[in-house]
This record gives sequence, structure tokens and C-alpha cells, in this order.
Amino acid sequence: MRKKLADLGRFSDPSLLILSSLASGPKHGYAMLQDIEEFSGMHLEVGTLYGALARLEGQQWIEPLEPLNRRRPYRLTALGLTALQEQLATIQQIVTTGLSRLAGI
Amino acid sequence: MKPTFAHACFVRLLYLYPQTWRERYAEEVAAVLEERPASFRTLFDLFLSIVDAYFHRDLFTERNVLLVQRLRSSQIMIYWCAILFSCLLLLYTSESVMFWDPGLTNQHNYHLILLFVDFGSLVLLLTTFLGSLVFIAGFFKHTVTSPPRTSFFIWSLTSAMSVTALSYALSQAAVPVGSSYTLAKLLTQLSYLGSLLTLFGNEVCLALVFVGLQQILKKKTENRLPSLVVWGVGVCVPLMLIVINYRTTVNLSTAPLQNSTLLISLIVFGSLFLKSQSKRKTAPSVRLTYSQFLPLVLMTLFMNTLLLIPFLQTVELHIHNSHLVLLRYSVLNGILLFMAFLALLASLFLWRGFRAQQGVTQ
Repeated sequence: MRKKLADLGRFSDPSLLILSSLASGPKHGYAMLQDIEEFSGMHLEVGTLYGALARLEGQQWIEPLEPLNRRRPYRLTALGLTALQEQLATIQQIVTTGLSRLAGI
Repeated sequence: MKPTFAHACFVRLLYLYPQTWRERYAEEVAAVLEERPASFRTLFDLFLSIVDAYFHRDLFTERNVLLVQRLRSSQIMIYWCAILFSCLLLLYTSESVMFWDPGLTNQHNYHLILLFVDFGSLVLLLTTFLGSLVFIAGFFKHTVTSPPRTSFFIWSLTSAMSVTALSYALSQAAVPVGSSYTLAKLLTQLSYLGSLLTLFGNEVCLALVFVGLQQILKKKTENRLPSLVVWGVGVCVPLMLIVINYRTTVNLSTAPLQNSTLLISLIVFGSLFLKSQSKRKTAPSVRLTYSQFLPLVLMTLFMNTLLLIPFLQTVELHIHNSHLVLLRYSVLNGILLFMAFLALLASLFLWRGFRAQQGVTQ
């Protein structure tokens, strides 16, 4: 059975942020942290980042590229893209439902 | 960003991760850490991540080349130590005629040479022994590849804690009651503490060893029978050390206990040192299996077990230091020389096998 982002436990939120970051192109660890901070305002720590990266690699949602000066970039795979789309669709649905209910108050 | 002292400390923390993790991520994580400001939050997160890495080792696969590195570095150590030991023993035997003639014995030279031979025996024993420890660690890492990990952790932790508690109770009972020498009491306590730590370490090793057996019996390794044989030989060493520790604790004899503690502490630190040495890069195309080296590894392990017995006897004799036992001492060193020769032979064979394999694959 195919896994979902939510199955990654405490790493599901960081994984979503990482996949979203990689959706704009391959990035190495530090670039990902900066990008995530810019678009979400969330400050990910290094240990959490690499814990999530290891899991995403295990799911084959991302893949490592050749390292450049100790920095190894990662890119999104087709499987990762699908997982990201599914998760974002779920979030979109939650947002829409929540907003419509708020409007009714 | 210019790396600070705190950054250097953070990078040092990466050594606490499992080796497979380090091999895969350490360099890039170090690069990221050096570019970000150091904070307690990062420190805390790193500690959590280390624990996580140990509980999810299946996320990182060990390359076969790491095993080769471990075997190679330990066997090279054996090789050099065997040569060193042989030289020392030759020196000893060349003077041995004088030793048995009370009229000609030069006590000063005698003690010096004896010290050298002791040192040689110790170095040889330690290197062969820790060489095999490194191998055993690699072997069981290879065989313990799948769950149940939870049961393994619970088993090892419970067993380690219970044995530690038991040995602490024994050591408390063994402390001389009413002793007026505070320093002597303190030293005794320290030696017991050392032995407790040793027992703790041994217990964890044994837990690992028994999980290894469990995995072998469940056919989770390709070569079941050879694996069992290696396991059987490998288990003798830690088991023997535990028995010796228990015996010395119960017999209130602190001197052998201290020696044993020192010996095992050296072995542990030596193993860690060797492990760190094995991080050097090798061509990734090198492919080797355990079965290819099995006969040589068996020989080395068997030799290690045999070496332990004369060494312990030698230590015991050295403590008693009576003239009557010096002849036996010489015989025991002869046995050690023979073992050193075996170590040399095993190392040469292993080295040749490794080189041949490298030639084929590159």
C-alpha cells in the first residue's frame, strides 16, 4: 500500500515543507532551510531536516544528486510530486471547508 | 558564515550518529551546521535526531565496503603487532639462559625484558582481540538487518540494568568492613565502578550477540552454518570476560579485577579507535562477502580465544612473581609466539585475498 505524507508521523509536516520547497527545483540542505523559512516563516532545524530527508528518500519521493563541495542537492521524483499534490489537495479542502464555516459564524 | 567553537562542537556531535548514517549524511549536515548560527535549539534537535537515527537504522543501508575497511584495518594491526611481539620475544629468548642461573641473573635487565614481553603480549592480545571485536560488530550489524528491534532494545537494556544492579550489590558486599584507609577504600570503590561499567558494556555486547543468534536461526543470513560457527567462537570472548569479572568480584580479589577492567577498557577504546580509522574511503566497486573470508576470520577468532587464556595466566603469574613459575612463564610466552605466528599467517592470507578481490573488481 502506498504511503501518504501523514504516515511519516512527526516528520510529516517537515516533509511537506521540503517537498514544497523542492517543487521549485533541486536544492541542497541549506538552500531548503532558507527557502522554507522564506515561504512559510517556519524555522526547521538541521536534525529534523535530515530525519525527514532520509524518510523521503526511503519513500523515493526525492532523490539525491551528485554533491557539489560537500553540498548534496535533492530533487523531487514523480512519486514525490504525486504525494505532494495529494497532500496539498487535502489541505486545500480543509482550508476551503474551514473558511466557509468561519464565514457562516 | 565563519565557523565558531560551538559549530566545531556541533560537528563533533555527528560522530554520535550510527556509522551508516554518518557515511551518508555527515558531510552535508556538517556543511549546513557551519552556515547557521549555533543555538541550544539546534543542539537539542541534534540529540533527538541521533536517538531517531539509532531507532530507524533501516533507513540507512551499510555498504559492503565498510566491512572490508573494518577487516582490513584490524588485520593490518594484527600483522604489525605480531611482528612487534615476535621481536620482543626473540630478545627475551636470547637472554633466557641467564634467567635460569641465579648466579648470573641481572635482576634489573630481567625485569626490563619481562616488562617488554608483558607489553608485547598485551599489545598482541589487545590488537587481535579488538580486531575481532570490530569484525564481530560488523558481522552482527550485517546479520541483524530487520525487526524486531524494539524487543532487542528492551532485552539488552533490561539485561544490562539487572546485571549492573546485581554486580553492584556483590561489590558492596565485597568492600572490606571497618577499613581505616580512606584512599584504599576509594580505590576499591573505583575499581568496582570500573568493573561495573565493564560488565554493563559486556552485557550489551552479549545482548547483541544473542540477537545475532536469533537472526541466524531465523535464516536471515545467507550462510547459516558458517554464521553459527563464527557466532559460537565469537561469543566465547565476551562470555569469558564476564565470568572472570564475576569471579574476581566474588573472590574479593581487586588486583585481577583492576587488570581486567583496564584490559577491557583498552579494548573498548581501541575498538572505537579502529572503527574511526575504518572511515577511510575505498573504491565503491569493491564487492566482498563474508563467506570469502570465512576460513581466515575463523582462524583469527579461534586464535583470539586461545590467546586470552595464556595472557590471563601470564598476568596472574606476574602478580605472584615467584621463581618457581618463571619456567612456566617462558612456556606460556612460547605459546604466545606460536599464536603470533598464526596471526601473521592469517593476516597475510587475508591481505592477499583482499588484494586479489580488489584486482578482480576494479
